[in-house]
This record gives sequence, C-alpha cells and structure tokens, in this order.
Amino acid sequence: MVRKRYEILLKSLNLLGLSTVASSLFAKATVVGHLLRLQLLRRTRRPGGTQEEPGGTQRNQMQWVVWCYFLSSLLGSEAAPAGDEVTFLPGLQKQPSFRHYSGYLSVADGKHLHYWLVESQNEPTSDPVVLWLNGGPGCSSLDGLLTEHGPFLIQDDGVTLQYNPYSWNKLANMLYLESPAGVGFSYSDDKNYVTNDTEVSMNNFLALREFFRLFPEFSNNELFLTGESYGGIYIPTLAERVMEDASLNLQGVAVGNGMSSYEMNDNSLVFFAYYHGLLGSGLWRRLQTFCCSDATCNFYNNQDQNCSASVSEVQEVVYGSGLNMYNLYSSCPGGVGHRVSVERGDLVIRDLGNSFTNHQWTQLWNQKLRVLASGHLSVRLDPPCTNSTPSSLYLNSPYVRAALHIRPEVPAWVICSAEVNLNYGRLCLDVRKQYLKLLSALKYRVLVYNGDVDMACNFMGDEWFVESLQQQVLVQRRPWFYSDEDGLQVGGFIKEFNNMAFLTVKGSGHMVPSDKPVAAFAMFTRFIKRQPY
Amino acid sequence: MAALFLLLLAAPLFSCAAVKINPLVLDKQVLWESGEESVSTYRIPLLTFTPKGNLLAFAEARKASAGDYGSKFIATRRSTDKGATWSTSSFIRDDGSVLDGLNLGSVVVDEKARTIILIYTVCFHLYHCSPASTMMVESKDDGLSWGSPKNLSLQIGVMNFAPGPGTGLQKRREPNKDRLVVCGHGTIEGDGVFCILSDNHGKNWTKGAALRSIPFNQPKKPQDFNPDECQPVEMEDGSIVINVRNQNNYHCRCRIVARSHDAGMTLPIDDIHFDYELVDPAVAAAAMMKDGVMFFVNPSSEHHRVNLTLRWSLNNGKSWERNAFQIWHGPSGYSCMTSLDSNSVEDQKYIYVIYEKGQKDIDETISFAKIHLYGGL
Repeated sequence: MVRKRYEILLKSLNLLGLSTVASSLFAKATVVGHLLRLQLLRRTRRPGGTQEEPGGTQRNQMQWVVWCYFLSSLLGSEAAPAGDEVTFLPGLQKQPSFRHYSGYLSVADGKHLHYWLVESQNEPTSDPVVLWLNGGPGCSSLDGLLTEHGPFLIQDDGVTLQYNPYSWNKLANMLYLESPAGVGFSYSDDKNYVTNDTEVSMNNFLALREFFRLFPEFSNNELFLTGESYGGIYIPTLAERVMEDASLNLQGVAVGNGMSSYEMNDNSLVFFAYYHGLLGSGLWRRLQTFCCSDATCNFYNNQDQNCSASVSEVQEVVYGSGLNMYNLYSSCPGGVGHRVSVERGDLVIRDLGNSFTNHQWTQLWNQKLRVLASGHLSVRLDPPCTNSTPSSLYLNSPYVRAALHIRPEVPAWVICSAEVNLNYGRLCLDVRKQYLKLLSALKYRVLVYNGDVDMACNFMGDEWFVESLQQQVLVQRRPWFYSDEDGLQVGGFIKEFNNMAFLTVKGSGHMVPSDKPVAAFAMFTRFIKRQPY
Repeated sequence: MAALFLLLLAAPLFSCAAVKINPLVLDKQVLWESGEESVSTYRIPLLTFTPKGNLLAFAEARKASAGDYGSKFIATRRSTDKGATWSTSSFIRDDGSVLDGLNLGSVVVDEKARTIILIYTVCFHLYHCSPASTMMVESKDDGLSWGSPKNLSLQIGVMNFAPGPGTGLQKRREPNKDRLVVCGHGTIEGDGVFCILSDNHGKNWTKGAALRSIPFNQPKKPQDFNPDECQPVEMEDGSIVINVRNQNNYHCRCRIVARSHDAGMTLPIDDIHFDYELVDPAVAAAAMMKDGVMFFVNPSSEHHRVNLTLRWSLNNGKSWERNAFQIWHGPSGYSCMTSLDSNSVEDQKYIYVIYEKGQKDIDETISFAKIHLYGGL
C-alpha cells in the first residue's frame, strides 16, 4: 500500500516534468531499502552467540529493529521473511554462499504448504524463480532438492550433504514446494487430506501468490513452473491459473517424465516393454490379437477380457517382477520387493497407482489397498525401488527440522503420503487443454523432457502426447549434444515446435537430474536462458 | 533431322531471350527468422537446385550471438514445388558449444553422381582452437539426409579456407567437364581467392587456383588488394568467371572479377578486372549464368548494405543492362542465387534468390524471392 503511494508520488513528479527529482528520489529510496535489508540480514545472520551479548546491545538491536520497521514500512516492504532464512543447515561441511529460506505458505482453509527456497548462486536479484514440484500424487518435492537438482544432495549416511556441481540453483532461484497439504512437512489445520487435481492447482496457485507476497523482491523476475512425474498434471493445471494472473511473470513450463495422458502412458508402455525385450513373443501375439485392430491398439480401457488379462501380464512384468520401473537399466535399491508388504507393523505400499487405472483388476487392487490401509495404524507409501531412508533420516533429525523452522507438532517427514495418494481425486485424465491454452498465448516456452529408459512415464507416451497437440514443427527431430569430460556427447533427441520442445535424455530414468546430471543441467540451462538445445 | 530437332528444342529459349527481361518478384518468403528456435541469428544463406529439380536452402544458425565465431547449427529447408512451400527446418550439423565453430559454406551439385556436396569450415578464426579444417558433407538423396562429415585437410592440407559463401559448380563444358570447383577465401592476413577441385565426384580434392592478396600474410591497410568472398560461374566458353568481394576497396568500391581458363587451376593476373558498374559495400554477392544471360545480385551501394539489386548482362558481364531491378530497398546482406535448368519453358522463367533481409539490420531474416524474369511485361 505504502509502496503504491510512493509510486503515485513518483508518477505525479514525472507528470510535472520533474523526472530527475523522481528518479533520484527513487534511487535514494532503493539504496536506503537495500541498506536496511542488509542491516537486517546481517543481524539475523549472526550465529547463536548473539544471545550472550550484553543487554545494551539487545536494547540497541530492539531500537534498531523498531526504526527499521518504521522506515521499511514507509518505503514499502521489499524484504524476504527474515524468520524463514535458514542460517545454519546441519550436514554441510561449509554453509552455502547463497541464501536459502524454509517456511510455510499458508493458503485457503488452514492449509500450510512447506517451501524451501534456495536462491541462485549467480544473480539472485535478476535470475528467474523456478518452482519445482515432484509428483506422486502425494510425494515430496524435497526429494527433488535432496536427490535430484538441489544445491546439496543427501548422502547414504542420511546425515551428510554434499554440494552438487550441477545444481539448478546455479542459474535460478529454485523454489521447492511440498504440495498438497499432507505431503512432507505440509499440513492442514483440520488434518483433512482428501483432495483432487482442481483443489491442488488452486492451492498451488495461492501458495505461489503467497510466496511473492513474502518475497516481493522476486515479483518482477521471470517465473518458470517445472516438475516431474505427476507434476505432469500439477504443472500445466497450475500454469493455466498462473497465466491468468498478470502479476506473475510466467515465462514457461518444463515437465520431466510427466504424466500427460493416462491413455497414452498406458498404451505406449506396452510397446516400450515389448521392444525393450521385456515381453515374450507369445504374450505380444496375444496382445496384438486381443487388444489391437487396424493397426491401432487399446491397452488402456479395452473391454475385451482376453486383452485385459494380457495387459495384466504386462503389468506384472513391468511393475511386479522386480524391475526398477524408474530406470529399466538400474538395479533395484534394497533388492526386489513386493508391491505391498507389512514391515514392522507398517503397511508398506510400493505403487503410486498411476498405471492401467481403467482395468478392473487395478480397481480391485486399489479397493483392496484401501481396505488394508484402513486396517493398519500406519501405512507407508514408498515409491518402488527408491531408497528414501537417507532423506527421511536427515529431514527427521530434530536439528534439521529446527533449522528448517518445522514446528515439533508437524508429523515426521516421509517421501510420499499414503493418505494423500490413496484418497486423491484424479480429475484430470490428460492435460491437452492446458497445453493448448499455454501455447495459444504464443509467449510461453514449453519443454517436455523424458529420460528414455523410464517406465513410470515412458518417453513414447509423452512424445505421442506432444505430437497430438499438432503444433507447427520448427526443427525436425535431431540429436542434441552436451559436453562432458570425454568431449561432445549425444544428450538425446529433440523435436522443436512453435514455443515447445520435446526432448529425450538418453539412458536416463525417471529422475533425469539424478541419472544424468550433466545432460540435465545443460538442458535446464538452455531452457531457462532461451538458448538453442 | 537432328539439327531441326535441336532448333525446335532451342526455340523457346530464343523466344525468351528475344523477350526483354523485366523481372517481377512473384513470391517472397521468410525462411528463417533470427530469434526463432532460440537461435540468436541466422546468417550466410545458400541456395541450390538439386539433382531432382528441387530447391535446397541452407543457413548458419548462430546459437548465442550474431558474431562469426561461436557455435552453430547448419539449418536447411527444402522445397519440392519450386519455392512455393518449404519443408520444416532441419539442423543437419551441430558443433556443440565450441568457441569457434563451423562456418558456411559452398554447396555444389554433382549432376552426374546425382549428389549434393556441402563444403564448410570449422575453427576458421583459430579462436581457442587449432587448426582450421575444411569439412564436407554429402547427400545422396536429394538433400533429405546427410552423411557424416569428412575432413578434407588430409587431401588439401591444413589451410584456413572459408568456402563461398555461395555455390560451387560442376563444369558442364570442356575443359575438364564434370570437375567440381569450389572457391572461397583465406584468413584476413592470408586472404585471397582459393579454389579446390575434384575430378572424381568429391572423393578426392586438390588445391586449385589461388589469387593472393597483396601484401600476402601481412596485415592489410585500407585500399590494399584483398580479394575475399567469391562466387564462381561457368561461362559458355567453358571458362570460369569468379565475382569477388573487394574487401579493402582496392582501386574502387566495386567488385573484382577474375577468370580461369583452365577449369580453376589458375587465376592469372592478366584476367583480372574491376567492374565499376557493380558498386559494392564489400559483401558476399550472388552471380549466375542462365540461358546465356549473366545475373548478379548484391546490396548495390558503396557504403551500406542496403538496396538489394538484381542486374543482368547480355554480353557475359562486359556491361550490365540499364534497368536493374530492386529486390529490397532496405537492409540486405549476403545473397545466393540459383535456377532450375530443366529446359522446360516454366523453369526458364524463374530465378531464385536467397538473401539476408531486415527492416533495421540485415540479419533479421533469411528471405527467399522467386523472381519471374519476364513477369514485369
């Protein structure tokens, strides 16, 4: 409000032809604002020893704070929430040179979404803000921070963090949001965690608004929305709302191994499995016979019982045989496991329920899971072949929780919330409408990228999806390159459309920045900086 | 009988030549726009006919900046309907993220082998790399796909050779019928016109003619003799005329014209002249022979790259017809020209020009113009 008044004053000075007065006034105000912020930050950055300072200093500090508050309210607040700044993060040998903040964005109905903002290592004031959402539904974006492209990655001991030379915050302010409520450290006052796509996109939007209210200094920076897996639904549905809000400087969206269409994901997976040597010729023949006609196959919602039975065999091979569905060519951390098991009294589910949702036995299976879940005090949802123990150990350390400003009454952190996932309302079966809306605005850049050995959201399904949008092709499919210590390498393949690119990352699984950090960083850099791939 | 048949064949040709050339731009299109596909700048356009009578365009897609250095793609588009529509752009080469990447280039069609050969250079400026290499890629399917690049340095030796930019030629007449001739220029200090030759359809290349700058391998001063980017044209007597950029404005602000009577082996000083009518701001220009008429395109201005103009000569370039034709009044830079020579009446009517065109700067777009030679009647 005050800032607005200040702007009106500047405008009127400009109108009166006193633009030099106006600009010098503005410059002064900005300088004063920056000085104040610096002072405030220095104060808050003092190590814990400040408590032992003599009372006089504390009194001075109080006066200083009051004075600052007065002045800053006069100039309009431009400061980040100082209380959210992470001043000391356990597990690091050396504290980072960039700032980072952890706290809550409160949205409608008493929902509090936990965020962790790691400022850019380059130019935080001018670099873009990039929102990152992991999928699930119901999984935590801190997995992205701690195991994919964050500035520090969790080590196997669950205690140590190591700096990541290919961190995405080398060029962007990365905002990791745990969404929806019930995921990670995010919670709801009423503990009701039943939600759906519409509500989630709204709350993500409100969280983003709240973020820029808390960090107004970023409101003019470019904004990108990025995510992975079920983020394939989260990101376009959020973008649809963000693009309507002129106060948010949306520039583009990027989705990695995203769920774009349940139908295409299911249909393509069967081809993927067969042509990657996972299905025998007998099964393939049956699939062809029972599920296909006129060169078109329907593995998604085929009513033919024989087709359904054949597809269930495929699903058993892909998801039940012990293969790592997130990376066909990786071993399964922890060894071959079961889709559901009881461990130390906990019911552990290793299925996020995204595939072949239309098949009768999938629905029966989900019903069974819900019944099982209701009979257990504690239900855990672990993505299959994923070792989340280090992240859980780390984030549940009381020191880490305190450093991240997580209140004691907030439940323990788990990688995915069974409650959110099992009760999730999947309203959006494809995101065609959202992409077309974004593209028709003619000003957003869209990147759909896929590690090409992932089976959760395989590249072919997303490639089909992108093709189905029928956008004008600008450059025909070609290899793209990046450099590593051995020289120029093929990163994968790319096809460029008007304002949109479909890109594969060769040899990468579901979590591209974990599997191929150098290639992923090259891709991200080109996307953000609008460089050719 | 045979003579009568020849006469009949030649009849439409004569009828055309008898009709006064009066060009009209029939179709204008932007083939590439700088900034598209996140490419900083498209420059150095090339245009050729193909063995199957299609049109093929190339340009450098400069990834990060407008400068000659830096990393680039080679972009190409193809038209199978005489320039009316163009295929989606393909990036046929990608030099990664090097500091001194590839530069175009000369495209030459081998009508006997029915192949298209593209010669380009990498590391031409020796900026954080060494040595410079002359590279060749070949298409055996009319420009749809391209083989892997071959480094010609093994055959022609290590030299800073920037082919073209423009088209090479295959000799259609003696001497040395079927020889491939590709000409280009050297470094700024070691500049001059150099040609490389192949007598076996691009399998092997040898060094041919050299027209060296003076002083050679020494820093130049204004008005030094410094022949640079060039466009060779085969004349009806089998000689090759090379129209050359006069980099340091030696003698005039106009084009240097050199001539080889031995299929690109030598470019004797005796056969060099300056064409005062072809006023030039020092730029890569386009030249071509079609049905006995010589055509020339450049930004016709002494000092600025503006006013892209088509000229034609009915006496092999001795003089140019008065009624030159302006293709674009505004900023215009490098250009390249081709035509389809099927002997059909239809193909006799048109020439095709590709050029750098902009409203404020020359490097805003790579544009294409289909010009009806008799359309302005």
